[in-house]
Order: sequence, then structure tokens, then C-alpha cells
Amino acid sequence: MNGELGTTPLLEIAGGSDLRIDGEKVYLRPLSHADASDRYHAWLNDDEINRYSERRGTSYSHDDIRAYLDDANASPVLLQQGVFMGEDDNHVGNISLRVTNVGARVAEVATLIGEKDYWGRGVIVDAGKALIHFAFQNLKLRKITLGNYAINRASTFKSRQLGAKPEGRFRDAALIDGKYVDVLEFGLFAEEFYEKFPELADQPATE
Amino acid sequence: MTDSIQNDLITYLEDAIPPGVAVSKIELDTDLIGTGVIDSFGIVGVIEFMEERYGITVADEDIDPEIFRNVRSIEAYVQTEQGGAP
Repeated sequence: MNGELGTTPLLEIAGGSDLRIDGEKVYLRPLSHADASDRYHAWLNDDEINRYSERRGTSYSHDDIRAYLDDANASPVLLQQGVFMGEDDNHVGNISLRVTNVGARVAEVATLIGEKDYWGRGVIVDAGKALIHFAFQNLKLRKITLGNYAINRASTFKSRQLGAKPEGRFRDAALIDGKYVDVLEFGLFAEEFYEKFPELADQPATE
Repeated sequence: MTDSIQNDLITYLEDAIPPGVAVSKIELDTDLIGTGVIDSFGIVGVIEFMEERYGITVADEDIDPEIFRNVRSIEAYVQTEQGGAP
């Protein structure tokens, strides 16, 4: 690894702007100002896409996106990646890895699939597998966490598909549509991940 | 009862196969997740069907790929939640 976790920008440790992480259906790469498209802007301001996200109800401009990407790419704890798919390299969503405990080498994975035509096509799980494999193998992280509102059963299933185990329930910890809802947390250690996906254990996460 | 649950589930699942999935007929042991019949979005409909049809509540901790692996495993779960022998 180039640099020190928690001090050096995580993107630099991960491989810099040329980083590319391949899944089976999608590939991941860092985002730049050129990726702050009208489509990306529309995702962030769509109530349906953000129904189960803390982004909902907030308005974002193109400048907000560019500023966010600048901050993300310089952050020592955040690795923000675009999710790309198809013959035209469509930018269909984003996935991020946020180091939440440097000493314990723990990070949280969060996803956004903005292109609704790609919902229900296994994109989230494929992108998650690829990024988590990279996190364990290249960044030498110990543990990945994922969280979602309990009413978002699709997201619960996604976390379990990735091999994550239920670790906690925070009661009435979020407010959605005027009602308090529980928040679920899931955790995944490397040995659990590679037990779930043994075919990845000896495969490099990047070329 | 067993045949009824199996047939109900197969009928529901065959009607709900997402576009692009190369499966048209579902058998008792068809891998529902590996084939893409059930994905993270399809699971919501499957759970709602089970809850409405069989009067059970699928707990958050039971949203587990092992339970939804195939028709037999879903049927066993429904029977257990109904208080019958799996």
C-alpha cells in the first residue's frame, strides 16, 4: 500500500485516479468533475431513489456534486467510486467505502444505484462484492459494516447476500415519512466473506 | 398443505421472474438466487406474498438468502412459522 491509512488520501492508497475494480457485471472507478452529469444530478434530487437515504429532502446542485467529489477524492477515510456497466460504460450509480475506525481497520460500505433501469439486475451485490474484495485484499481492512432502515427489506437482503451477519438494531433511530423506524447494522469479516465467495479468495481484486 | 404451498410459491415466482432471467419454469430445487429469480428487489414481493398468503410475519433476521434459496426452503420456513412440522 502507498501511504498510511487515516492520513494519506484513501484514493491514493487505493491506486489513485487510474484505479479500476472489476466485478462480474460492473466495474468501479473514481469519479471526477466530468462525471457530474445531469443524470447524476437527477439521481440525487429524486425522491424515489433517495426514499431510504439520509439524502432525501435535500436539494443538490452540480456545484455541490463537484465539491463533494473534490472532498471525497482528497479524504483519508473515504473511497468514492462510480459504478459503470454496459457497452456504453453507463454510469449507473455510486458505491463508497468509509473507514470508520482506523486502528481497528473497519469501514462502512454504502451504495446508490441511480439508474432505475438497472434496479433488480444484481448491480448492487456485484458492485458490493467487488469493492469488499478490494477492501480486504488491497487495503487490508479487517471488517466491513453495512446499515439500512429496517423497512428497507431489499437492502437487508443485499447485505445478507454479501455474507454480512446481523449485529444490531437501533430502535426508532431514524424518521421517515413522519414515522420513527429501526436501523439495522450488519458486519462482515474477511473470513466470512471468502467463505461465502470462495472463488474470490485467490483472485486479485485488480489487474 | 405441502403441495399447496409449493404450487402457490411456484405460481407466484414464475409470474414474477424478472426480465432477462434465463429461467421460465421453476422446480422445487431451482436455485432462486443464483438464477436471478429472486434478487434484492424481488425479495420484497416474495415476502409480501408469503405474509399475505400464509398470515405470517417474516422477521428482519429471517431475510436470509438460505431461507430463500429454493421453493423447498421457503416452504419449510412457512411451515415452521405457521407452527407446523417443517
